[in-house]
Amino acid sequence: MTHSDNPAKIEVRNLQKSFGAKHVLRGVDLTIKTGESLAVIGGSGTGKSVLIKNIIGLMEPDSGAIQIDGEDVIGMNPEDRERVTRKFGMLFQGAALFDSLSVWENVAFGLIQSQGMNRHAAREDALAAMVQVGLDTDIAERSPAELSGGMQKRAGLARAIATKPEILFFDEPTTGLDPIMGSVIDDLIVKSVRELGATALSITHDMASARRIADNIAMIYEGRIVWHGPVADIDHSGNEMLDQFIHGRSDGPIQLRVAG
Amino acid sequence: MRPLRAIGRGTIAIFAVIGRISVFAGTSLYHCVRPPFFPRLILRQMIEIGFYSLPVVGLTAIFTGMVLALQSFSGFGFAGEATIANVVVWGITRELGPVLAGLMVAGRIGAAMAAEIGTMRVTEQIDALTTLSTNPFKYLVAPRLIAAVAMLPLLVLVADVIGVLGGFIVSVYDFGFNPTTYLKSTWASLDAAGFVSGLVKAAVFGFLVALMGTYHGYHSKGGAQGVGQATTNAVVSASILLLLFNFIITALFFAT
Ligand SMILES: Nc1ncnc2c1ncn2[C@@H]1O[C@H](COP(=O)(O)OP(=O)(O)OP(=O)(O)O)[C@@H](O)[C@H]1O
Ligand SMILES: [Mg+2]
Repeated sequence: MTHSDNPAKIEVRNLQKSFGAKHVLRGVDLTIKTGESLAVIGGSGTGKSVLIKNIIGLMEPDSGAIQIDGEDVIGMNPEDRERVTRKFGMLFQGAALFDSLSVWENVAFGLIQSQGMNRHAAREDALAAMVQVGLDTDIAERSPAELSGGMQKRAGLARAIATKPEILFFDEPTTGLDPIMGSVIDDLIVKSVRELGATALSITHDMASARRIADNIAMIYEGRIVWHGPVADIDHSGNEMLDQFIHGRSDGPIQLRVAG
Repeated sequence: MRPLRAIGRGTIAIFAVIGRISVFAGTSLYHCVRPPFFPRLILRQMIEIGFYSLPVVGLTAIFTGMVLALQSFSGFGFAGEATIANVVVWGITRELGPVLAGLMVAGRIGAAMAAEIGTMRVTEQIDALTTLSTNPFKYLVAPRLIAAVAMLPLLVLVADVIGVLGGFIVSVYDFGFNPTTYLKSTWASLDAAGFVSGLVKAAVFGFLVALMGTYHGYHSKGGAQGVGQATTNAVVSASILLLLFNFIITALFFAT
């Protein structure tokens, strides 16, 4: 499946972001075509979460440009920004379910708050989204704290897809899950993205998961994208950094600074 | 030059904090008056702040009223019902009712707000709100501010009544005063300005407690320890600001 002829859905140009003296993003360039599923891989602390937060608008970059559907979103007024945000759905690393609400209220949250649906109709849609991710509707009234990690991820996924977003973001969707549950979540992600016809941006350091969910892979290192290409090419990319990362070798161009 | 530099740096830091809190307060107030509103959330906070604080505030008020009567009896001796009733009413309605209720609520509600919102911050629930097109100021901060400003005067009203009752109990059962005369003196001592100033204080205190609770929660970082720090900061800063504003409001009402 190729999306190379599609228009760009997300376009990131020369994105820079520092925290004090720490220069995290040092000029990230990234294009994600409509309908494409891209996984950004990279080591811990390389700025993957910071990148996604800048794109979503949870953080302002120091410089650079971000376009969603051709619209510049940096410095956009709040009304337009909100309109763009409605295109997004996001699954957070720790699921980030609202613990003051029941499971179905979590899943229905975007339908009620952002689409103005009444509670009754939203509940029906939420239950349908729960079924879609393999959650038993018996747990609809439970509190998220009573669910296991895997179930929380499923509920988070149901919440992200319930509003039928055009763009889905996944922050380390399989971290903290056992390998089987991890691949179940991956399959659900692939299925959801396909059913919605959505564009997807995932960040992960789990290579097995990246291979399953992505069409293309981009590797981030020292604040820049050092390799970007189809998932089929990653095993013979000729890029030493990518090779080292996917084989998890400790010797190579990537040096972990253990101290400091 | 060293001490001057330290003073300068400290002053700048204080103004930076005041600036940040002012911007936070301004943003919050803007979202308090702009739709959409969240009546369910406001109601829930009102019950949490108003109803569940009643026992704490009531107990504080009754003991304070009782001790005021004891102290003024031992201080003014045989000055009689009128003086003691007067001291109790003035002390409770002008100062101790609002201040003690405010401090109790700061400990109970300010801490709870900081802990709840702080946990939401560090578990990315606040980020999740934004991705679901819901403004965290509207959803989390505004309902708490509105509820606290509305409920604190009611709590203080209850504290006033119970505090005066505490004074009455001690005066009648301990000192053997005539209940009717004591009540008449109580009624006569009640002055509109003092009573109203107490309720104005209560509303301001409610605002300060909710503001500090939400501000510190919203800006907490670094896991469980950060949330604990935010909780402590919320209670301490709310208590100090409350006493500062108590002085300012008293000066505005009564300084001639
Ligand atoms: N709000 C912030 N304030 C200060 N520093 C931050 C902030 N957010 C991130 N950082 C720093 O930016 C760097 C990149 O963080 P980020 O969370 O993006 O890493 P990551 O690639 O997602 O790592 P992981 O795989 O461990 O989640 C880290 O060194 C982190 O300390
Ligand atoms: Mg991360």
